[in-house]
Amino acid sequence: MKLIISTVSRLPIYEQMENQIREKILTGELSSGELLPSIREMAKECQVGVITSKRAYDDLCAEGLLISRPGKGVYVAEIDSSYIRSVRLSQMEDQMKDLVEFSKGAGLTKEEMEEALAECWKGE
Amino acid sequence: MKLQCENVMVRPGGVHEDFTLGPVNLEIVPGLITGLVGRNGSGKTTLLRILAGRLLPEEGSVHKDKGRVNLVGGPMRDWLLRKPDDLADAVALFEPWFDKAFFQKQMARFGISRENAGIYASSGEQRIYLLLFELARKPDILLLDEPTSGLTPTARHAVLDLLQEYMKDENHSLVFSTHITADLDRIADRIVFLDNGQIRFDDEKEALRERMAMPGEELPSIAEMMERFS
Repeated sequence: MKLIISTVSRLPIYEQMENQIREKILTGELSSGELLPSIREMAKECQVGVITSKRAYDDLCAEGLLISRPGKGVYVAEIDSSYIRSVRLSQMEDQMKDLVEFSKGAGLTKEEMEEALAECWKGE
Repeated sequence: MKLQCENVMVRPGGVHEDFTLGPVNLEIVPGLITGLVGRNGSGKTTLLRILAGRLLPEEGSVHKDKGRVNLVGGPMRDWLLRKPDDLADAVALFEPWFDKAFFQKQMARFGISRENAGIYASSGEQRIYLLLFELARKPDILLLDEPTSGLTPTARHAVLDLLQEYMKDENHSLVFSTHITADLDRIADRIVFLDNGQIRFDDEKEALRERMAMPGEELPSIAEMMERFS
């Protein structure tokens, strides 16, 4: 599996891997039940450290997107994409609550927040 | 296999008369690539020689399990001027596990002649030849002193690929010293920074980068972290 990794990024390498594998699962490029390369194969293919590829797999397992079967390997979990989207939505809402709380405490308005959001979204 | 330095201290002498390494505490963790970074003269080579058992510490101790620890680096030895194939045959007498097929295949892959690699090869080819030779001896722990310096970008890439291939076996460990840290920014698991004979930091690479990140900026490279620590 080819992932695009940059060492010049605000995201640590394992997070870049997680995001790209997650996207591949959400878009269906990786399908349920598919076997992924082993941690060490993945490290070699992506030219990253072993701890890094292990961390990416561990985090995605904790998220429920991957399943590790000891002695067999790591597989894509059986989850339908609407469920995944709803999980991601609630995760986003959690982070939003923190932002709203911060903005209120700092005396910033909802309009200012929306403006900042639009700006950030474009920036990406 | 386990390899550990405990309170190791040494004054190697020679041209670096007033240099002291240590006290150093370091454990090589199996299955990982450990990057040993530091400027020229910071003690990287001395530490590798101690880990390889080629230099005895004046104080402290080195604990080693049964197993093979091989060091690649240092000046070209006379015996390497012999024909690589003859050398491989000779070593195979003493080390029956020597993987001649691997050696020959990789020499071909890198386009290095097995007829006269010692004499006519470029310094970059000699470096790769030494590395392939040590890999064929199937070490449990491979210590590399500046393995990529002087290589073309293509050769560097191929060497890094070869090292990652070696690391597919979880019982293997690699210690990789370099003053050009860009090679380690991707593949290293752990970074040990030596400065003037002392370990300034020693931690898992990505965790270290996250901890040393400045808000709103890209995560620091190994070189940037070294700068901040010295």
